[in-house]
Amino acid sequence: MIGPFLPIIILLLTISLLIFVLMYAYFLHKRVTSLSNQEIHALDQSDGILKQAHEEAEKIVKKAMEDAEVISTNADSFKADLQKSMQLILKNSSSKYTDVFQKEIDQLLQSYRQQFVEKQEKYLKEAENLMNDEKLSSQFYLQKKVEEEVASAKKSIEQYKQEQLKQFDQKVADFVQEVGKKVLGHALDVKDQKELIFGALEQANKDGIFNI
Amino acid sequence: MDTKYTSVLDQIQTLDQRESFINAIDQILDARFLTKANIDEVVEKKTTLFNAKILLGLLTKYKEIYKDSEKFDHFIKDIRSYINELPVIRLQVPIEYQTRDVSELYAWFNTNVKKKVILDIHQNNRLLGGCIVEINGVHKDYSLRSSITHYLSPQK
Repeated sequence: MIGPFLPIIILLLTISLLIFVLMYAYFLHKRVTSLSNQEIHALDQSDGILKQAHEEAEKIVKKAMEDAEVISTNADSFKADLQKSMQLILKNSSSKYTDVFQKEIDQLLQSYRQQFVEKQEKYLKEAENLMNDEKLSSQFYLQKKVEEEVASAKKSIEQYKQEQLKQFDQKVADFVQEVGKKVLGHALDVKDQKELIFGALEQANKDGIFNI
Repeated sequence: MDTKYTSVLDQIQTLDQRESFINAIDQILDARFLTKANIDEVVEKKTTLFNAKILLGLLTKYKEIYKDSEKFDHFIKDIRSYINELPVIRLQVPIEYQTRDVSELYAWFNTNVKKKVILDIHQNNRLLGGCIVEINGVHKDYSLRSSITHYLSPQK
């Protein structure tokens, strides 16, 4: 009885199966497309955050550099102060001027170095806070990348700070040597020089150098 | 070494003077051994006036020694050894030191360090003031330049 309808039944079953396969393929395709879009969006977002973090780091380093320039310019007024005190020391003291001279330089230098370091520390702290905020607002899988950016920015700032400090000290040292040669060279006669030599020998004797 | 010699030998104050004096002693020892010549003549002919004065001063003071060949050899070698073993203090100073100035420094060492030393003085204008002392391989900088550099050091 089923015999005459058998080809039609097989055809209908085949068509149903085909429709089912096509629908499955369609939904599968739709799902894959949707996931890819999410992933692309996530990657775009991560690029954006990294770019932003990098830009912030650059901005902070640039700001710190600009500020260092201001401090460096201030070093000129430091030079003037130093020159003034050196001349004053030479005018008002004779044999014991070395101690006063050292004390003056110490005070002036400490004051200017402190200003310089404070500024640099301030920018370093700001950079760290900014980067930490960035890290907290990032998605978990981006945090590692942001952390790397933070570490890199901190390293750059620290390196820059050290270089600037070194340059600052070198500038001052060169200047003191230069002024020392000009001012002291002319101001100290042979008698003063001998006094300094005997003073140095007395110190060496106290240190026990000659008992070696 | 008998300390009684040291007053005569106080004239030898610098490294150059010591080298010259030791050289003079060596020449006398060689000449006397080879020629048996009169020691006074050898001293006068073979050494500088400065060294001759010191040596003849010693010999005049200790006549009994140089009349005896064996005693003389012992005496002169003893002096050589004593002078050669004196500690050398190398000083770098920012000014030029003349012989008269060296004597001032030498007197300072006699009074304050209370031992005989040999001075090796070098001029170094870069020090600005003070001096650098070197003794037995120990180097210590007491210059004004060093003080300034120390006070400007970033580690401070």
